[in-house]
Amino acid sequence: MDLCVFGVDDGYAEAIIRGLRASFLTEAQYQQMKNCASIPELKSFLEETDYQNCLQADNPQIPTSILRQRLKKKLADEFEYIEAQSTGILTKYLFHLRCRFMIDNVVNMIEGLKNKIDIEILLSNIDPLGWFPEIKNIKVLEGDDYSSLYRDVLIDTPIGVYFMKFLEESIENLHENRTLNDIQNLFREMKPEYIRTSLKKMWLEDFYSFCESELMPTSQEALLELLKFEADFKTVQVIYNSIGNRDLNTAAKIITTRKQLCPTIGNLYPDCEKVYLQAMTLDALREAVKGCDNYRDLLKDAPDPLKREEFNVQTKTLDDIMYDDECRRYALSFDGQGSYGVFYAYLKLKEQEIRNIIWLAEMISRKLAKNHPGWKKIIIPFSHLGK
Amino acid sequence: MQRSQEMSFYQLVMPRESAWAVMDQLGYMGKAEIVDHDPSIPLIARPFANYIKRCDDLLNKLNLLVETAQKLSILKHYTITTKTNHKMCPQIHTHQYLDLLEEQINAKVNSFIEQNRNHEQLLEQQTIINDQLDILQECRMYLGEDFFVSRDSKIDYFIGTLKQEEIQQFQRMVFRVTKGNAFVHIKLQNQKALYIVIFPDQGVILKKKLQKVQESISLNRFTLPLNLKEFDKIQNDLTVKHKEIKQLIELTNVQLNSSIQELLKQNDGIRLLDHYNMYISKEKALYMQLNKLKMQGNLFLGELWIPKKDSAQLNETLLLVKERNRDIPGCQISQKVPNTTPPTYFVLNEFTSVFQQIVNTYGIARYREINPAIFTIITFPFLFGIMFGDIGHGFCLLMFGIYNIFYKFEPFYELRYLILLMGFFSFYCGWIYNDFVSLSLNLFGSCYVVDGQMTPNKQHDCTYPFGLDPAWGDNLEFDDSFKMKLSVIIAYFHMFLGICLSGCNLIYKKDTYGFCCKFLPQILFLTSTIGYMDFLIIFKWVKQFNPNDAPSIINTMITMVLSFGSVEGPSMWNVNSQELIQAILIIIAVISIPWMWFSHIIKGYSIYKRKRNTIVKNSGQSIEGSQVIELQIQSILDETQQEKSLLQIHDHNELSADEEFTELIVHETIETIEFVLGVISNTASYLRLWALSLAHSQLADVFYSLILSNSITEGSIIGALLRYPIWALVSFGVLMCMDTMECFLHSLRLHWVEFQNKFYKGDGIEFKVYSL
Repeated sequence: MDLCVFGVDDGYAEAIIRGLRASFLTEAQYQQMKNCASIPELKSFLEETDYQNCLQADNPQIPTSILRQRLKKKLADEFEYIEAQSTGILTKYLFHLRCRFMIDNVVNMIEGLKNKIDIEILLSNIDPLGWFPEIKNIKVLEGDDYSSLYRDVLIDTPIGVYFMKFLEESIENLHENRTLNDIQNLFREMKPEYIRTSLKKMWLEDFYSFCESELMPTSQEALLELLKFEADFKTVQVIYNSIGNRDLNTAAKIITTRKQLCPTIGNLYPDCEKVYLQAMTLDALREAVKGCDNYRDLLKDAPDPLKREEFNVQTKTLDDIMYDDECRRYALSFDGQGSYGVFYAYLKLKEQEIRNIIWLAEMISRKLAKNHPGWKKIIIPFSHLGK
Repeated sequence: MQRSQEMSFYQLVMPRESAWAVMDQLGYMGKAEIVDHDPSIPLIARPFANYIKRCDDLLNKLNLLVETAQKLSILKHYTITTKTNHKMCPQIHTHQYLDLLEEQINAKVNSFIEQNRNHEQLLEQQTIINDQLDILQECRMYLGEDFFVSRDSKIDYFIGTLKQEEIQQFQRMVFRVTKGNAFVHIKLQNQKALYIVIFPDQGVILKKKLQKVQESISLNRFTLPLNLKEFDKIQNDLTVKHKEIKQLIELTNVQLNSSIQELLKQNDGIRLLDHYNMYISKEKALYMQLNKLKMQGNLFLGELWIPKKDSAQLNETLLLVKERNRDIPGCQISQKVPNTTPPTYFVLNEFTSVFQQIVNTYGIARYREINPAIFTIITFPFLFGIMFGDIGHGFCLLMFGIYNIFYKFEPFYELRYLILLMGFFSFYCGWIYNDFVSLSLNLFGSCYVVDGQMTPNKQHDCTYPFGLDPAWGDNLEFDDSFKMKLSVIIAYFHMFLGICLSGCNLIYKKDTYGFCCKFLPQILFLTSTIGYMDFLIIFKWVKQFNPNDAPSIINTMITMVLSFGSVEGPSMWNVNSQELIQAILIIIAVISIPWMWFSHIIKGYSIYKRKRNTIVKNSGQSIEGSQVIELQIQSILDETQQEKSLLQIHDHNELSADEEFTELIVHETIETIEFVLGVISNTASYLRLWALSLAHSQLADVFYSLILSNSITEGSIIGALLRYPIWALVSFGVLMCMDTMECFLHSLRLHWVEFQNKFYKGDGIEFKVYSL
């Protein structure tokens, strides 16, 4: 039924997205990019593609960081345009999508300020997709006082809710008779990566429940599927990265941390929760996820996290494997009709494309030999569909 | 224009040094098309990609310059002309000129941008000073004179300016940071907000925090002077500084202006800026063409098409290049047998181009096939006229066309001759129909008297000189039958013409077999069915019948087909001879169907059989010898290829003999079915002429009787005057705009589908002339 009325409000926005499908680089174009000998050549190649306008004003010897910024700016502009064309639930939905980038930006800012990086540099490096006006006020942050950061700056922002929840949870987990000092210590020791993971977990759960309650059935079906996979991906990542992690020395600590960071949605939760929380080796993790989907196959090729020191550029890391599978799912979802999945997929696939370009730009600027295995490490959106 | 120009194919071989000069001359000659040797190569992989890049960069720079100048409102009403024009285009025949220009432009643009940056900086300084002056003024007003005299040390102040949209955010932040212990005064001024934050001096932490808030949000921050003396001093200093900056700004303005004026200086009637733009655009176009050449070592290989009649000019041009550049090696040119279909090129003028456009929108003519545009010139407006026929409306359209020819009216200027002819023919058909915006004109005196029952009676033996007798004006039944018959007659002649043109094409290709087995049966089939019906229509018009036993054409046709030519009811003339003729016609029609269906299949079968035999024979031999046989197969393949003439090149595709033969059967079957059904359904399709013409006259009638006729018959002049504009507006909107559009589209359809499907292949490639 919802397919009949989908076009009433969201048809235009969807049509734009479908049109933007043509802007994706093709496999042949990637091949040509790989053949570029220098950054100016790469830039002039990109000027032949859809990225033409966003690069024109720049110097040919463009640094990769600025290149990334330009590409992201283009994506952000497109996204903003679509957001402006949307109404009702779609607007809310698109806004939710942007929250993920806002979290990244805030955490990056916190991390940068902690490392005493100049605020202007940080501001110039923020992801345009997650820009919100209050972000520059993060400057007010003093030391590690996250609660005042929340009180003074983030309270008004869209991601304030997640931050508040995060603070509450962190404090709750302390022992009973806590003092102000304890709290401050806790925050001082907290790694930004930890904040990021927990915020994103909350965002994911929130987004999931939003999709579950607000969206039409077709969109729901497509999106919940994707989000479940994303949640599982996060869970596997958390478990995987915590195996053999030196900061977490006791088994009890590992399990509590895992419990905090693993999303409470997805195919793995709650059925496999007990097993995966206990998994201390890669094999145990494989065993834990075997009941679900194709996860076991995915993990088959993952390198052992205990031998982390031996990893190099050639290793196909867990992230690479998962991104690859993700990309396939998004491409499939992009071709689905009458669902909001297409917006999500578009964003994700474009992100992947930007990652690819940046990766190739890095490879080119380091002048690596053409037979270097790193050249193969790109995942081309929509390349899975042909097979 | 009847057939496209004959094309010659040449190959150019030139050393790298002279490539530019040769292509430059060819561009000025503007007669040839350079063939891209491999269109799949992306631009950046081509030899002259960096030149194009350079040209683009320069054009962008000039654009930027013009835009900035326009923003500063130094340069008004200027649009960049990139169109290269033969006469205005600079005749500079060295490519080193680009380097020179590049240097000049870079210097000029850079200095201009530099000046502009200075200018902007100064402006910014000016606004800061203005802001400071404003806020100081505001402080004095708001805090009062006394404040500066006796200042409370327990209270501290921050002052500065804000963007207006950030006021709320600022206030909220201040509130949160100080936990409500601060007071913010805001005043709106010139799209900005001045603020004064008053807070208790409670130590460093609060102050530092507030300072950070201030840093992150406000545009400019200032310090509040401690006492009146200092206050006045600062104010005076600022006013002096303000004056200085104002002078500086004026100075830079003058500078900017003069550098723009320099660019607008005229040289040989061309402004310098235009000269830059045109030269660079020309250069870019030239390098685009150079990129189409194939590079082999130090040589460039180019292939080009040129109309046969202009090929003499090609040699002249190349000689000219040699003369101009004696120091560089010349190039070689040789005529070659083309390996692709030649492009289609018609020499057009401003009158014919619009009609060619109508045909081209459907498809570019195949090389050397007959061009329907030449017939479209008259048939298109004529069919339009049949549908639109009305003296009044046609006259308006005609006048519009004439107006457009003398005074340019932009959106329709391209169509002016089409509109003129459309107007003329609808005017003409209007006279034939005797229809003047739904009224009949009685100019020559009607030959009929209309009595009370509206049945026209012949008064005396007379004929109305031109067009329909006005007495028939309101008789819809008569109109219907007249226009319907007219449509069918036109259908026959239009399709007849189409089939004849296909015959012409076959004759031109010297395809006698095709002429006998395609053209002849088709024309016979059409004539024996629809042609005979048209004959009956005209015959019935001419001969006088007794109204009670006049034969019906429809019945005649139906019984003729169903019962083999026999006549039921009254006959047209002698029953026996009519039956005989009809039987013969039926036999002709029936015979012509298998004739056109199987003739090509039979021919194809004999070729197929021969081919298979040779292949079988060869494969039998190939077990014994190997290379010799391959050569034989090659020669046989060559033979079969030679059978196909140059014109059929794209019919040839790599199919095996079996597949080719099945394809032929399917193709012939479909074509025959399409033709036979088409004769009937296309004729029916021409009835749209009747329908649209009827719709036009009825609409006109409705508007007239509903809006105007009441007040006219009542004789109230005021009523008529009041209603007239409504009627005129409705007539204009519905009849002149919508109906014109509709008739145009239907006429277009009749040409594209019913007319052109009889003969027009329309799968040619357009000739794109390279001209600088």
